[in-house]
Amino acid sequence: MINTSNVREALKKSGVSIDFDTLPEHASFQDHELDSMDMMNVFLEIEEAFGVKIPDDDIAQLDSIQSIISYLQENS
Amino acid sequence: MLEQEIGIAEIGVYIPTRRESNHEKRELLDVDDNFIDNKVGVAYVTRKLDDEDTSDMCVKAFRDLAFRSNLAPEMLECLVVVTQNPDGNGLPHTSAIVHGKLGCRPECAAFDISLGCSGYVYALSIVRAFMMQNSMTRGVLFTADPYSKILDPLDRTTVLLFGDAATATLLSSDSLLAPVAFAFGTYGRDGSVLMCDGGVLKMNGRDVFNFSAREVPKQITHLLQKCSLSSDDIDLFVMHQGSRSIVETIQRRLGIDGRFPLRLQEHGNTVSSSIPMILQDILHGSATGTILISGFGVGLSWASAILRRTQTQRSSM
Repeated sequence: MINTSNVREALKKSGVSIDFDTLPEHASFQDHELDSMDMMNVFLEIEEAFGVKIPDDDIAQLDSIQSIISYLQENS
Repeated sequence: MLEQEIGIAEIGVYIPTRRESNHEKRELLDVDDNFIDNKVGVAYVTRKLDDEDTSDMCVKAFRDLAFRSNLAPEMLECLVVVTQNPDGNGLPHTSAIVHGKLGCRPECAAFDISLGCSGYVYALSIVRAFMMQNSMTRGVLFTADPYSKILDPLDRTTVLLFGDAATATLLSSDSLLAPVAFAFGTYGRDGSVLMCDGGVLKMNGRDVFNFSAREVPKQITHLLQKCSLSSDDIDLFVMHQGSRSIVETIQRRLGIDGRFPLRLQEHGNTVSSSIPMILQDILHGSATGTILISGFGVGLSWASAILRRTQTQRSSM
């Protein structure tokens, strides 16, 4: 099931040093200093948790929890 | 005739003195210090000297090996070089060139193995089996893959990561570490994510990261199960030093605390040399009884092995 709680749980597994429990849904990952290697870990966990393959071309638009939720809902 | 068990007896290392600071490339490549230190994990990348070729790096690694083991070239029965950046176009093979530069005997077998970051693990199995099949007791396995030959200085995906180095591992019947089990893997259809295109290295960092993060923990888990071991039985997990981020990701996904050494800050990802460089540091220590090594990368290719300590001090040489 795709919801905020499940997406946050997947993000927490990424090992990135940011509190995904309290990060606002529309907060920009880049503004919170997540770099390209952090995002590799983020998308790895999202792909595995939700059984999706996120192409490189779609990565740039996925800069917040909300954008990931919307993307998963459109592409699951 | 009984086959003599062949294992790792000693390791020599050559690290070029020339190096480039990644921090000085911050503006050029649009990266910050945190990324360099904590994600890539490389402050300096080493570069071979202009008048050095792959074979010369092997010769220098051999000198370090000879110093540590009193090994002379005429003692070698087998000489293997793991490289995908050979001297010239690869003809003659680099191991033959090394053979000539060292002055080895004509009876000494010499061949190259074309593998990258998985190369040391694969080669341990290959050379050990070759030596045991042919009743050889002294061989040297070289790793020397200077990616500086093919790097794009403006590609931050690669130029901040890869460094040049060479190693020489003495394989003999009087060993300190013996391989007890191996596992291998290949995804040939995905090879284009890390390749040399028009003489320049091209890497899709995300695809290589995903492959490593998914396949390496699976293979390690499988290898442990095959040997009826748990992760608690392993004193040290020596991963190929792809980047600080991938080593830490593999560790996290395996759920293991500690025991994952990092050694890439001062020279970078040295391809097939990264594992033996760490092994050299712990070769003579009794605290490491069982070691798991794992190499992964270009191919896509990956391999893991479990090494057991046979003794803390060799009886000969």
